[in-house]
Amino acid sequence: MKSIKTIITVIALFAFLGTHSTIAQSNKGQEKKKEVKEKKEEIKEKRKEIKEEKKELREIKKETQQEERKEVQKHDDDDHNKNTGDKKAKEAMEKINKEKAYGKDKDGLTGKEFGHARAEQARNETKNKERQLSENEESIQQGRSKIKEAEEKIKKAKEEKKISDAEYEEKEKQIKAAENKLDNVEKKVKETKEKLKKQKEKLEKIEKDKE
Amino acid sequence: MKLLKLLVVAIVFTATSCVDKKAQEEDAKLEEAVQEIEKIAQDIESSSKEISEEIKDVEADLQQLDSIIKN
Repeated sequence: MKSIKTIITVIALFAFLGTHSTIAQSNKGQEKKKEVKEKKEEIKEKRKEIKEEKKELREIKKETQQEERKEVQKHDDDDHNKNTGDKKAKEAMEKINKEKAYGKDKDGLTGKEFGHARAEQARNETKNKERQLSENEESIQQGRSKIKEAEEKIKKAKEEKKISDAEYEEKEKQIKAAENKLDNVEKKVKETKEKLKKQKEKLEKIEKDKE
Repeated sequence: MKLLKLLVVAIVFTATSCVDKKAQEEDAKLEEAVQEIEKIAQDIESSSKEISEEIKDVEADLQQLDSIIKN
């Protein structure tokens, strides 16, 4: 009987100690788990922050690119408007090219009406270009006389020994460069004049067909 | 009588379609011509742009010549 009591006491003691140590261990385990969880959460938060920062950076980059694109487009549009003058007519022209609808309404005009309106506009443009070209020719003429004057001046200066040979050659080079440029411009002006002539002929033909 | 009516309708129909076809052909011709003038206009535009840029360049050179003339 005594031995049974001893055995029960020992078992109870072991059970008590075991439970205590188990609880302690489980507490320790729980603490560790908690720490790991906290660390995981911290890492998660850091990742989230990094992701957000990346997102922000991407958005900023996108905005900057869009702004740049807008500025470039605006600049191009301004140039286009300045140079071509009639953007609307061009848009209408593009529309026609797309539609290819012979005889149907185009921007409230029939194909025929639109064609004649565009021809009229081209006629005005041609006149403007002719004016511009004659101004260019005047500039070229002035340039030629300046070149002549400069050449005479340096020759005289060389004869009177006001300038050295090296100086003379340098100035002559400058004059030649200007002369070459003038030649190029003159050539282009002539070519453009030919194009204008061709354009005028085409417009006259349209005018005749209209009558 | 019926045959005559049919004949008249056929003639009117043929005449209308002929007129339509002609109008369409004229429109097509005009459009082609407009496209050509459009192309030339663009060409002229780009040439005159080039010319005005070159004129600016030449003007800068001429200013140098001015200084040569003055000195």
